[in-house]
Amino acid sequence: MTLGDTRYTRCFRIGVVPVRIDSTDRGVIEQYTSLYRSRLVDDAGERAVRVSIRRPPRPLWHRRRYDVIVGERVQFEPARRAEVLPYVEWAINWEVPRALPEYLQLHASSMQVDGAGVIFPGESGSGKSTLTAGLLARGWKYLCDEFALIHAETLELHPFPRAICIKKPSLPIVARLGLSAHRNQHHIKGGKGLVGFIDPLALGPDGVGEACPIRFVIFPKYVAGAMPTLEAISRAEAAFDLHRVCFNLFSCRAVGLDVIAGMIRGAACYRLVAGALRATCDLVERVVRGAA
Amino acid sequence: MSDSAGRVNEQAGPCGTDPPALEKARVRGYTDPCHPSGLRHRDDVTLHELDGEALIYDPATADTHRLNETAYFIWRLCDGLHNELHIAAALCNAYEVAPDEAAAHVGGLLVALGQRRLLAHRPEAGATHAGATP
Repeated sequence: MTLGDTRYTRCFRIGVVPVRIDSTDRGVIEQYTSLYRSRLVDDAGERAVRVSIRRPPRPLWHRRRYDVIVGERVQFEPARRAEVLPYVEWAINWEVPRALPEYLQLHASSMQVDGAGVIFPGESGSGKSTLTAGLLARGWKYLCDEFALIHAETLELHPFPRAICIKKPSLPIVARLGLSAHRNQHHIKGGKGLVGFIDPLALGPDGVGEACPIRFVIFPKYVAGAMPTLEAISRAEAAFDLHRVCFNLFSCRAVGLDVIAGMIRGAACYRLVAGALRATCDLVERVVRGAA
Repeated sequence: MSDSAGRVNEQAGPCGTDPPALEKARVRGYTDPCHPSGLRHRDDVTLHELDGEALIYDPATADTHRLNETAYFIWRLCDGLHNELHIAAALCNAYEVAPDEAAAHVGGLLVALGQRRLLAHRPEAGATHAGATP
């Protein structure tokens, strides 16, 4: 065996998601491990999401320097080290529905407060992650900034506490709340540009929540300078919009719409116009904690 | 026939529709309100009722549709026992809307349901049925 053949492997358990990462590039592995050190486990098990990062022997002028591989397929080909971590996260996200088909995966950040699950469904740019960071700083428990994992049988919301991905312009805002980008590093994430990753446990070991019933479904839409407002909507309207942000409506072990309809019967549903973070968090807290 | 508040006169005719309107409907080809071959929605879809509204999943197209309260009200009456006129009359009664408004609403929704292939049976305009005189 030559030095070039050395493969580094690390296993993690990020909430309910077991992850196994290996790479021939030690720097890449260390980068990921430093972010998820508290989730290191000896063995991720057979059902783990498996991601490999390779640095194939390509000529220096070649633009693609890394391969991010899921299964046997190259999913992403980042050009720079600063792009690798976001693509690894992306690859893991894509694999979760296949590895854990018992969960319905919605594009929504998810939090827990006073035992109640709250999900914030929305497309990229709707302000999910920043709102999540703001609520985390107020003592809410973090479940995930990008996904709501709903167990198809229990209809409970489960944690997948990946690092919170915040766009560079929003980093100073969450830094004022005591949440700094891990190692103050910036990464390059596709169309989002520069981002920083925030460890949800940065504020304390109790920052991550547990499985819980969903009691609130709040669709955020960030509008710069807007006065935050919350408007109640019907459960049918919310369920319809939720099915449109579901990643595995047809590949989940149960019928996706059945899960959404079952889950939403116990939830109050709102549309949120999000403005300044503090005022938005005030409003959401008032409604959620008031109702609870 | 309806009163000033838009309520259908229950004594006006069979199933609450007035005879001239019923005759007009016959000419247009719709079934008698009491005839069991009226409008019928598909039964092979999955329906979830949520607080008086509904989500419908169509396995044939993998599309999901949302019906608001009045749309779901109309959907439920598309049971093979009612026609468009009768459903409009029922809508008048239930929601206290003017007959013209109810008819337009029902007509619009039926067109939408038809376009989405969610109706199993809708008598075609110009068609006749047993016992009807064109």
